[in-house]
Amino acid sequence: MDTASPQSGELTLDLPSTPAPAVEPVEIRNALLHNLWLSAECDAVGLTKPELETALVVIGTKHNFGFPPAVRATRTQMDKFYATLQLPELALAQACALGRDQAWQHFFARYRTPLKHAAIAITGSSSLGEDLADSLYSELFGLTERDGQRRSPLASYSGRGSLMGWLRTTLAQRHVDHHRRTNRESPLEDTEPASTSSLPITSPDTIHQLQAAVTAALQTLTLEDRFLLSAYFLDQRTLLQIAQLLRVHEATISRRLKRLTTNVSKQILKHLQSAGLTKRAAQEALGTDPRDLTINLRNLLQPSPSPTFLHQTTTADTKQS
Amino acid sequence: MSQLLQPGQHLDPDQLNAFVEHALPEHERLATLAHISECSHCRQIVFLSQQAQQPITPLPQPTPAWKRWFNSTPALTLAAASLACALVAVSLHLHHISQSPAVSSKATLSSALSPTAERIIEPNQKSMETAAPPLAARTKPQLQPGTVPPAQLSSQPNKVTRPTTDTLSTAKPSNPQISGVSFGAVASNTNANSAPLSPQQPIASHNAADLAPASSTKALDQTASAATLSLAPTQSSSTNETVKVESSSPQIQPAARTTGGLFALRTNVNAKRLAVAPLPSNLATATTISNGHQTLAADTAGTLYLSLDAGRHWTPVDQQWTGKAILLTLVAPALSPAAPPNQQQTAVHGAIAASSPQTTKITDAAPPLPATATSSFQLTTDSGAVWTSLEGLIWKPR
Repeated sequence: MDTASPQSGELTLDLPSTPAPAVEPVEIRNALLHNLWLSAECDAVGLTKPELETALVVIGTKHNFGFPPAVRATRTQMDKFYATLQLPELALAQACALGRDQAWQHFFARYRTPLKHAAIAITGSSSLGEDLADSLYSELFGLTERDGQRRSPLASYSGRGSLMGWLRTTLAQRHVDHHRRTNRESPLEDTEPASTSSLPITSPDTIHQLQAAVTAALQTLTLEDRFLLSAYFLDQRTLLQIAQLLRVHEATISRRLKRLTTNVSKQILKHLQSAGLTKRAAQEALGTDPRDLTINLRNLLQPSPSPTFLHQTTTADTKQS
Repeated sequence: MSQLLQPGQHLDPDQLNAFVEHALPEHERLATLAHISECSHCRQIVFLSQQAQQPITPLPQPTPAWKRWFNSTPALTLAAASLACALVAVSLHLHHISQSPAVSSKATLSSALSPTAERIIEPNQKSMETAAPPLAARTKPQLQPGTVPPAQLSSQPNKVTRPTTDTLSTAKPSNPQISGVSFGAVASNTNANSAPLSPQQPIASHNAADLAPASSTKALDQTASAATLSLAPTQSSSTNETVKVESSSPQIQPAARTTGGLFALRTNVNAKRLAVAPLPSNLATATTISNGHQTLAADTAGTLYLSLDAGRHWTPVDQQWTGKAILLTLVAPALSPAAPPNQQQTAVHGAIAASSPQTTKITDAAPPLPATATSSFQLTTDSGAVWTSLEGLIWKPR
């Protein structure tokens, strides 16, 4: 079962591709640092050059300057990596994390209204959105302490994306965590997952062969295909939402999904036949209706027996209303 | 399926945000994609973040009370809609009916006036529609007792029998509600919607200007000269006269007829006159008259000009009179000699009569107006002399 994500300051997951610091922290040349300091408008938020340099070096080292772990970036590539960052927003976030008043004034002036709107959009409620935004403010300000030091999640902002996007994602994360916590406290019968669909499969051997075939077929999929299957069939996301996330047209997503399900069906049939079933028996195992394959995908792709967040939200809203 | 799905291991917001904003390098993007394809938690965060990125749709405004009232009673909404449709249909039907007699009828005042009426009115139908109020509404307040002959509506819509002046001055008609009365160029547009006319109004000195509102008359007089047309003289000894409306000119647009009326015709004439070419003397037009084919105009210096193409080109007319031409009128030659100037001659503004979409053929006890009679021009000089001409070039003193 999935658990709620860790609290602020613990939201770090080292991806397999995310490198450990491969090189020693490299100091930034003074001329470049001065230019970066100017373009980051650090003076307006009260961030000094050494503070900016420290933040840049930590970020560059953490992400290996945008290169895979095996690659060692040259100094020119490091300079280019620094230049690609959102320097003014990074400086603002770092200054806020350090507790600079002028930085917080800038932050409130620029992000108070957008943050509130984003929270309302995420929660779908004005009051809940305001509560969510207020709770995030206190967290961002660093009211929580860790190891005797005040920690602000803003320090984890790397500047690779926009600060507003980072705030939105943080809001979404907090909202999901809050929902999972409150949902966990609800009675058991409310969270009991729906009974599994009754497939017209009678033989346990056939079920075992089918699960093995589906697992083998899914393992051959690319990462993006898996994401498409999960987002579309498990999360019930629309084609438009997926297309906006991947920045392609929704018709492209539709075509890819159709092609993907067809290929997966063929792969499963092939695996079933290779397991000893005849073609007709394999088709009967899958069922002639392709929607049966979808149901199998749902049962197999979802590692947790609990329903997805979307279903939980929908169920909770229905019960509340 | 993946050890990334272990509890508590999720991508941080910075990584997810960079993925959403496509700010990750390819190897990190693939790794993030691999994680979120298997981690519903991070997938939810990604989609929620993307959802918050969309512009917020405004909250629905509270429905007004009257809308809620209609929403709660669909039958009432349907009934109201049906009633509105019915009202529109009835109004359109009534409007169509009010147009029909005018469309089909064509009052012939004289055969010579018809071409002029058609030619002048046609180009400006729309302006007449908008500028002309209903005739009845305008004529009723202007009608003074003893100035307009009363009329009785006959059973036929286009045939009106009216008592003569003497008869009606002492006795009211049995049915004062006049409907479909055609009275020369002025009353030819009255229909079922017309207001009742006063029965104590003689024919004599009935002028178009008397029927128009003061403001519109004043405006007309500034641009159009008053021309007098003698109609069939009303016999004082006769007891009844019949106004027969005939259809003769299909070229006239229905819109002109529906809104036709004195004011509308005047407006049309004025609009038409504004479109003609200026006089060769470049002086203002003092008076003008049109007789279908010919158009005469006199400038402020008294010089007379003739146009054979509705005022587009002007030819000066040799002055055969003494003094300045100050007034141009159109006179039916067969009627004018026998008609006393104040009682038997029905004076109609020349321009109006010429541009009227409906002409009236009057049949009564007096000899009827010859259908083939051609009107003649009449010129009045500043000394009071009256000259007449058939074609506008050769003038003879009257």
